Amino acid sequence: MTADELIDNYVADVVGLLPRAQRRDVALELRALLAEEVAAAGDDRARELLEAFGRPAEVAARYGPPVTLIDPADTRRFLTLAGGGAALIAYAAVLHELTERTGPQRDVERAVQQSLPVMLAWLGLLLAGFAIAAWRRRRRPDKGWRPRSVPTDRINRAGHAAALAFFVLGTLVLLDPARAVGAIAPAAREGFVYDEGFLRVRGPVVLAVLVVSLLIEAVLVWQGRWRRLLHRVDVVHGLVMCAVLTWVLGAGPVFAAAVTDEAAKGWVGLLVLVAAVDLAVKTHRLSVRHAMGH
Amino acid sequence: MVGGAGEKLEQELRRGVVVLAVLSQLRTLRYGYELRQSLVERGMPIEEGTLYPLLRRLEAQGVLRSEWRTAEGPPRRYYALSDDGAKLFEGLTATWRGLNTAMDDLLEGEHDR
Repeated sequence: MTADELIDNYVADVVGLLPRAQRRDVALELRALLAEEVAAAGDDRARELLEAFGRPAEVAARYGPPVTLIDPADTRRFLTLAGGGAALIAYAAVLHELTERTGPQRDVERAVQQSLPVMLAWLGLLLAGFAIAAWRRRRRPDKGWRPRSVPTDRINRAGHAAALAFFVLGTLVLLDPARAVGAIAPAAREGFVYDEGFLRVRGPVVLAVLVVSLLIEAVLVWQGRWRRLLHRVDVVHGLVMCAVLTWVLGAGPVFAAAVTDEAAKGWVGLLVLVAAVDLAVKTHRLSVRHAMGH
Repeated sequence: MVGGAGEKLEQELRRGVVVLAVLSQLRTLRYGYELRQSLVERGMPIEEGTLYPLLRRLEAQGVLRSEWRTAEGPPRRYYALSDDGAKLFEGLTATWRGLNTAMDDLLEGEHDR
């Protein structure tokens, strides 16, 4: 390839990435300038010179104001939300598969693969949201940082005490839901009888996890504030709770009646997803507090 | 580690003065290659891939004006400061001198210690 052909090749690659209105003019000027550079350096150094000129995409980008879809300052948050959302969607697909299918029909890998369009839709929405936010900020810069109300370790003791009472009551109902429902609607009693298999191993494990959550809440009410150790115990407990409930969903029926079992598993699946998001938020806050030395 | 970072920091430092250096040489009409040579001769080499697009960007911003000339050889696009560009150049020069004085004070202070 001759030096002129190399220059033409390079210029075509650059102007191909420019807005249409700019192409002809830039091509004319850039070709003349490069020809002059090559003439000064010698034809045999044309390729070396063009390589040193830069990647055509980078050179083309320098011809106009930079176009950024996502502000560099937002990129870390974008990646966190993109990765976190994609992981949550995959987890939801796994929970759905565990709930809907049993035995050889169950295929977790296929379920995750089938969730790919939802993940892509999430990424697309997120990208559009961040791009619109960046565009608006460029048009009307925000005022920067505004102080928020100072987060406090203190809790509303009365509120948490009421919540604890409610959770205790809920746990007592879960010990034997058939009896609790039967007391109100005897006809529905049969639908809420636990499966024998569930009662053997999974039931006691779930009960243990629930009791630990009651203990955490009780300690919180007693202390009147979140202490660092309790925060950590709460995060670990959240992790264990998600793992145990996922296992419960996948290891067989919870209720003997199929209709109740299906409905209960749907709600438990939703609860696990909410708990996973809550866990991620708590872990992040705990990490920030740790960095602040609180 | 420090070597790579040092190179990057030096590039950033030079990037900050590229526009002022270019404007300083465009008080008279010059075309891209001629401008680059002029900067090289005065100890301020700027990569071609940075300089030529920069001229177009400054022109789009109204800092430079340009015209094609064919009388002195092949067609060349010549650039010079526009009226607004000349005012901007004065402002940037004053800023640069202020920075230079401050930096001299800072750096000499370090030597005196």
